[in-house]
Amino acid sequence: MKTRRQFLQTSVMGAAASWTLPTFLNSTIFQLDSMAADSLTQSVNGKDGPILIVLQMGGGNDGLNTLVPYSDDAYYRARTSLAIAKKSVLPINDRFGMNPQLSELKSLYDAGNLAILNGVGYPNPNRSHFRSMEIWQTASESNINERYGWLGRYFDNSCQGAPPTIGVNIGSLPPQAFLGPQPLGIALANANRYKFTDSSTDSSLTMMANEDPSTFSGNNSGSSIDNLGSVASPLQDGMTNTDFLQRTALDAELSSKDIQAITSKVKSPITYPKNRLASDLQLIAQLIAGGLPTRIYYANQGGYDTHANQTGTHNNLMHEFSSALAAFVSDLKEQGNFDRVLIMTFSEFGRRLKENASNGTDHGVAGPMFLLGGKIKAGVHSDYPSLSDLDNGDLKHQVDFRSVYATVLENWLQTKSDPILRKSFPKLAFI
Amino acid sequence: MLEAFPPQLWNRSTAAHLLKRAGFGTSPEQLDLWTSLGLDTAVDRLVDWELTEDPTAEPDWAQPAFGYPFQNKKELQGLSEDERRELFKEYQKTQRKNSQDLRERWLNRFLTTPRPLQEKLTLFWHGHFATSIRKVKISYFMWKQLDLFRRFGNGSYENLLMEVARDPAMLIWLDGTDSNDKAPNENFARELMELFTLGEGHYTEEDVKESARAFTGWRVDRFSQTATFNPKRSDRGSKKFLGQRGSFNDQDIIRIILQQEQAAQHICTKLWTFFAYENPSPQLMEALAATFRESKMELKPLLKKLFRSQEFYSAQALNNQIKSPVQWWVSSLKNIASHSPATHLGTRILTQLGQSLLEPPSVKGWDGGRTWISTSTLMLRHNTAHYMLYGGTAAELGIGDNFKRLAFANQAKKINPEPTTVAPNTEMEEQPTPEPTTKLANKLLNRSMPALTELAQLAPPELRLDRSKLINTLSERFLQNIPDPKLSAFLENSLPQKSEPVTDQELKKLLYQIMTRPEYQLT
Repeated sequence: MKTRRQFLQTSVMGAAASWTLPTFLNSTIFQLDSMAADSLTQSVNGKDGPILIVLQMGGGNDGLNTLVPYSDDAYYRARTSLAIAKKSVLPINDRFGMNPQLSELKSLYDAGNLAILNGVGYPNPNRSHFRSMEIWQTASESNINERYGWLGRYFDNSCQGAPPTIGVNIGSLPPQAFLGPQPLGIALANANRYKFTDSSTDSSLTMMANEDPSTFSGNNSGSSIDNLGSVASPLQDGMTNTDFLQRTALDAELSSKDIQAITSKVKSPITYPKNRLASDLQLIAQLIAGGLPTRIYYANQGGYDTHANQTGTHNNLMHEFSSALAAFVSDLKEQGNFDRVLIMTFSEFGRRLKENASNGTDHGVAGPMFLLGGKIKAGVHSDYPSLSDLDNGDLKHQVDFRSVYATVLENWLQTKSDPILRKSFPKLAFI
Repeated sequence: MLEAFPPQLWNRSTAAHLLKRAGFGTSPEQLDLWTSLGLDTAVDRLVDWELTEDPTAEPDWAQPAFGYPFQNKKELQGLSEDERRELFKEYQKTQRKNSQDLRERWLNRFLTTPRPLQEKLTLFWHGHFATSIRKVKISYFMWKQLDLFRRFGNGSYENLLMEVARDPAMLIWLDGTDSNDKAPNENFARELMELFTLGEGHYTEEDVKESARAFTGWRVDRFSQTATFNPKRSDRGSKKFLGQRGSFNDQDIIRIILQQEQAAQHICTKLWTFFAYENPSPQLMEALAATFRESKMELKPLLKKLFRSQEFYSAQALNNQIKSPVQWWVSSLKNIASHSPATHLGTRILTQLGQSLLEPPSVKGWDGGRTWISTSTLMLRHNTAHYMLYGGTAAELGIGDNFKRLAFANQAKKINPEPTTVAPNTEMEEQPTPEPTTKLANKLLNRSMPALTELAQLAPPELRLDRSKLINTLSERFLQNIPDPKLSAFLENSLPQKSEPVTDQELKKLLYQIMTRPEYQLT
């Protein structure tokens, strides 16, 4: 596996000796010539580097029917049609247990691979999907609009000079969590088609090799009316749109070569269930096995917005979630990579305790998070929130999700969390 | 600020800019025509679109309750559960067909409309009010909302908002139908202020609660498929809203919102961002908002001011907007002189590129700008350009996923026999209807499709003899600009140096180079 830098050196530098570097490359990757960056690239590529997989449960997962407070009458009173019967719950402790569709996840818990956090949320919760998702993805205060994602800030802070595949989103558009001052990370919906139909002429690298750095300032626009408004193409995040597009094309080209190389030779020995999440996780397992130098994978399972006739939909989602994760974990164990991996799941909010009039549930606040991995400290790391001490009908959060992020950044990704989260948060004990 | 753009600077280049932003680009011949009109007349013709004849026919299913299996409650109750389910299933199937028909008709309309700004603005309002068929489900309602945008999109902003508040698709989308005096639903009231008119921080939670009461009483009658008002479900009581008190109804609330200073600023900024450039200065937006208020919030004067302003033709605006997928697709078809509108393929590619028509990703609409571009979507833009020039297969374009997902869905059902209700987030196409097999999926994926370009029209024989003229002509057509010397040299280098005319193969290669330039993603 080549880093971006090695690739440029071997393929392009060799081919075009007279090539001068485009400005944006100069200001990003090739500042790496400093030794610090060199060592970082090395450690990013190290086979033993830790990997974080973020699994987003989009739509607002009903935490109360995921981890069921089966010993609490208040639960059964509030959910006369949706409650899961005590006898079918898979008990974790004497207070709560898992949804029966999560049997495979329960086995992982029993095997010591799963940590559970109950009641995760944030102060002054927002019940709008996209706003709450934004808060989770940017790790901002709920009254502040933050542009960059927490992982984007991590890339920017700790992964300067890394290849584009440092972050891989499964899906064709990256989440806001990846957005940072410099584009890093790729978006990949389907490995088979993650390639250029014509790879011979479409070479951003060849194009650059033929060009002079001055054309890369993005200023060749509007040349016919240049006597007006002398503003140059505005910089956004420190680069012009042309630079941004050129950079993305370059990232696409380099990552596509890497990913094609891996998927053509690495096949998974495990049979995955047939669902979207499973095939996304299978792709991640394939890329891990192939040694893609990735620190962060991001996957998404949608459909949790269960306002009406929740039971069938939610059970299907739970089953999909549990069976896909179980296959994924077996695959990683088989590969011998499970110790390098931490899987973290979250949803933008939980749902209200009281069911609504359409056999569904409305947007709530706090919900559970799961953390899986070979090095995890298994067990229940925060108590189930009270069902009687509610905030406006919703469970109160007792763990700030940014504490979870801080723990992951510090104890798993081995980087300082304060500059990324803009504040210090207490660490938890799950790693 | 907002000084009129000097008429002596009006030329093909500026005209092209106007037509790209106020429409979807235009052919070289049409561009000559628009240029000859002069700036003022060109802007009038775009904005006063009623004066241009539009022969576009509407679909026959675009009428209330078309094909709906029941006339009234009695008829519905006269049937058994099974019979009802069967009829609903059939109806849903028709709806899926109609929604695809609507998408394709709209895509074709972008391409052929004699009123470019009407469709461009309809697309803007669609993203602004961001209503999705995933929840609305009934195609007629989506058609009706687009029709509303076409009819009111350049009129009085107040009328537009009042129409939207009682629009069936909106009543379903933001839960107006579930709202009544006993339990007012806040969804519409909140988004109306947060996203449609004022922006966060310009109202309180109390304002949301109070105004939600004012919108009660409106529902969608399922049998007649019309919005109806039931006074018994409406809250006529006194409300305190944005500092005023009274027995306000929905229209009063909209009037009060529009009295807020912020209202003009909010919509002006959104329109400016869509048509001109991102992050305009607050001073410029205040100037634009002031003219909007002066004209009693009529949209026509605002649009004319915008399209005639110096800032609209400044370097910050020119060739510096990242094309939306719709813009990219439609202008590309025009650029390559496509022999087909390719609407079926187009709707599917748009979904992959992140702009599924009738399905904005959330109530916030599409973020636009750089969020259109990822390694995946940029790669697909390149591959789609390749397909347009050379032909190809669905697999190469990644648009056959539906078949595969369908196969998944069928198998998943077998694994988990729980009764499945359709999750709100599942795409309509994903719902298992026939019985797609992996074999069929593969066949469809690998069926080869012909190229779309009409090369003879793009480059007639005489043009193929003169390389630099060919490059200039094509660059002007595709990039709406004579390329700078560096780009010219680069493009010239991609053609073999010989005296014979440029062949089709060489031409395609040249066009592919142009369409995969970063500049080509900008407009």
